[in-house]
Amino acid sequence: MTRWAPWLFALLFAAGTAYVGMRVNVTTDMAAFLPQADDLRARLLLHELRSGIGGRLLLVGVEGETPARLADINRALAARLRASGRFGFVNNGDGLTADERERLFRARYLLSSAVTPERFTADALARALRAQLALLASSAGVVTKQWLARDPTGEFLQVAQVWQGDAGGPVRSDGVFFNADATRSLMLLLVAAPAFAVDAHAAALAEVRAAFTAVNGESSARLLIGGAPAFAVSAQDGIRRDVVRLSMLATVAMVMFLLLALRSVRAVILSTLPLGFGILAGVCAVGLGFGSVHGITIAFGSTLIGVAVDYPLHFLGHLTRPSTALSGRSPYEHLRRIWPTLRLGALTTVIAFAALTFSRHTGLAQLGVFAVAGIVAAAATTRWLLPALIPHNFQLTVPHGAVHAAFARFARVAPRAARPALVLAVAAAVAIGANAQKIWAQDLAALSPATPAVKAADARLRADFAVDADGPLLLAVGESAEAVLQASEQSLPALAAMVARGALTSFDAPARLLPSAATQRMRQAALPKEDALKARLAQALRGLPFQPAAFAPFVADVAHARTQTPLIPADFDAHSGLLDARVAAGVFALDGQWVAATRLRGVSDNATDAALLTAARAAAPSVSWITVAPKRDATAAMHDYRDRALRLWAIGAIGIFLTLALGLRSLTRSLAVFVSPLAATATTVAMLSLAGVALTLFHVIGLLLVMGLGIDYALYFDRLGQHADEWETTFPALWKAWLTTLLGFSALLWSQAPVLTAMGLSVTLGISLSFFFAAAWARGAGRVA
Amino acid sequence: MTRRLNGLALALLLLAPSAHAVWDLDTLLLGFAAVKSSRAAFSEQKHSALLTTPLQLTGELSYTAPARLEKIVATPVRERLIADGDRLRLERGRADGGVSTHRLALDDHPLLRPLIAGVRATLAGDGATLARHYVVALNGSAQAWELNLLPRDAAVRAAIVRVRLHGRGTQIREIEISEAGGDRSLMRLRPLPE
Repeated sequence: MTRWAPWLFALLFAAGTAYVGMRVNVTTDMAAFLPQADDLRARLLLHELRSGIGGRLLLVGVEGETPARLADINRALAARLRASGRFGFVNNGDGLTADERERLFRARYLLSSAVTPERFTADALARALRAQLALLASSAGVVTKQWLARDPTGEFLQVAQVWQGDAGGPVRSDGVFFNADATRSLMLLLVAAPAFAVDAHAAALAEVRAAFTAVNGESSARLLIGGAPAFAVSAQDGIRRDVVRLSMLATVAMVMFLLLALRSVRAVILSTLPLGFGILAGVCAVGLGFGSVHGITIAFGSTLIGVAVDYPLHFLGHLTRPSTALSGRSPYEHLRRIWPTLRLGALTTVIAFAALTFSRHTGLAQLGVFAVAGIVAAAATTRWLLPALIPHNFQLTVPHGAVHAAFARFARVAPRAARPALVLAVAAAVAIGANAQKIWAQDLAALSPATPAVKAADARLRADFAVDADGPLLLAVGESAEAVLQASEQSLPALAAMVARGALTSFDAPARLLPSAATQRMRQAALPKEDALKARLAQALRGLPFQPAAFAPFVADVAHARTQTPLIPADFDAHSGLLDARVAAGVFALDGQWVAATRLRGVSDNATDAALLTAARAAAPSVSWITVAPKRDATAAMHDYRDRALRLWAIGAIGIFLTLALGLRSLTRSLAVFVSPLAATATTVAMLSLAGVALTLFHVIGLLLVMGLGIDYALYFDRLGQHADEWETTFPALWKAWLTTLLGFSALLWSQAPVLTAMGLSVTLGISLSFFFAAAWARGAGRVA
Repeated sequence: MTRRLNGLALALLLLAPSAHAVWDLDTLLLGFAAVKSSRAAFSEQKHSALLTTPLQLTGELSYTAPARLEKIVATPVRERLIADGDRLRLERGRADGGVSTHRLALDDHPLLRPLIAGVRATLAGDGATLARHYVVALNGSAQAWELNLLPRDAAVRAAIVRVRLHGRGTQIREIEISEAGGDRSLMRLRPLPE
């Protein structure tokens, strides 16, 4: 075994590195860490939060100057951005673009709700023509004249009114969007790249900033950018920075500390081997299992450095002088002596993380797989590779300096605090029990790793644009787009009745923008045949000073409309403007089903929900109806998230205890060991809560790790109680292990991602308390040399 | 009466100093700027390719400095268009005798802005606004001048080819709007006493 262990490990290392280099790529999509859920309501909620078109819409604001100057800057900026080619549309003041008007105009006979047979009788045509004549005479005529020859009955104006009737949003002044008090000029941009191409979005954002700098010149105007792409880019930047910075920070701190602790460069190099293999194994395992590795997994994994270094430290600690009782033995024998404890410690940490691998969150499962693979590899490396690389009779000379003396004094004194520690733990448990509901985070936004500046800008711009993502929705879910559009149409009378009663202020139903194909065909059938229309038109023109040939385009258009293909949601897929965006927001496909979403405004009370559902179900029973209220349901999703977190923690803790009992083969000893990390966990939660930190799933994961590591400390303190002769070797290794873990995880506190700072905070606090409780309650530790 | 005389007097005063003084756009606009309000009766003919005979309108046009222009149409339909600053109000007589009011935003109707600006800015003596919307060419003299306004914006040019104003002193006598596609409207104005 001795001989071929190094070659085997070298081979594994080469294979692993090759695999990582060639096959594994890193992702930064935060969706992997968002709550997922089974039921339709939660999936719809998530779709609202991350919907396709919303994922590409950038909100831009310019402030800090006079309105006139802001308008000029806005126009210049828009011109540059349009020329850049990176944006599907740049809307800084159009209601509908010329292109969109053209599309609506061409489909006006299908879209206009006024198209009925009665509209095209000779009498009705005559009335329409007389009205047009009056309009021609009027000052408004210059506007309506352009459509007169093709659309004397005014269908286009009917359609345009429905499409342009917006509730809230920016006002137009001087041709440019402004917010309500004219302090900020606004612009809406659609990034041309698809929703999750974050690098392309980053390029688009850079384009906006560069264009603004070029246009702004000397003035004091400021640029604000909001919208989903801004979040994604900020998150990606943050995660990338973290991965690089934290890995470097942790590595440097670790190496420096190891040099101080071991005073031997060879020992330091040896110590880093289990760590290196651990990280490699972790990345490979995640790559094999998931196809790609999330940036946060790597950042988190780099802090497992602190854990993976424990094993070689314990091993090497045994090789220090003076230990006359142990001298003369081979490294293997030293290792075998501590292997049972080391193995049990590794196993409990692995169990703690194994619970995560069963989570449905991709992100958490990745963390679990990474940790399990990493720790197993680190332990295996310590067990089989290190002894093979250490020469016989290798001994470290580590003088016990002031730090060791301080720790030794601490270990001697700690048992006196055994009772106060008990009181503290019990008080913490009681405090948690009393405030159980209040300690948890309620807000989903707390999980986003975007900087506070980005979040603030986004919030202000969303208010300006009245992009109301919080409003309640009435949803029809069915087999096809046609089915849900028909259901939406059938629900219109019920919705109108609610508005009349005052239960609603207004609503945006998709069927009003895009009627079902059935309705469109009905309108087509209402249009008269060409010959009939010509005859009626001739009759209507009698006595009116119109040129008889003037309306030939009208006749041709109606004839064409009779055989036109009805419009379907797929016609609005190009995402080239607000038209497409509004249709896509109203009718979309989700997981194989189709959904029609009606946005409700001014809902008077909760009873309205129930009343609406009853009415909608009665009107259109062939589809399923549900209501989603993003604010209310997000809170419910967070509660669900929290419950899963607690379940994971409980499973992990039970697994740890069982492993412990099996390993120590003594129930009393297992309990004695188990109780200190448990007390530490309770106290950590109480202290975080007191400090005002709202707990999330990621704090719970950190606490799971605390259980795993705390068991290690308690195990070693317990071992010291049984083998007093190991005090000189095991105790230094113990406090060094604690210190390295602390250094490793405190690096996370500087991360931008709430996911990582949560874990950093809970682990650093938790393991410190664990060390304290383990020292205070260690049995037989009074016999310190 | 007094105001109009003053305006005329001012114009004469400006012209009087010497025959060498140049009468130009600025002079004309300065003259208009001094006039704070004016009223004129109009008769308008609208020629359209869609119509066999031109439409005949009569009514009254009134201006109040700095930015209020009112067009009151008497025949063939009763209508009142009030343009005050950026806001537009259109009151139309209904068949049942009532009046329906529409509020329009100039931003929503990109063709209306230059049309209104052409007349209103001239009456206000606002050369800057005129220049912003049009390429301005002035011919003639104080007694008989012709102002040719060619729209700058390409989108506006696609609908309106030219606006021509004829006048004497500080009175506009004729407004002719030529549209792309051949339609045009000719409005003759007869100043009314205040």
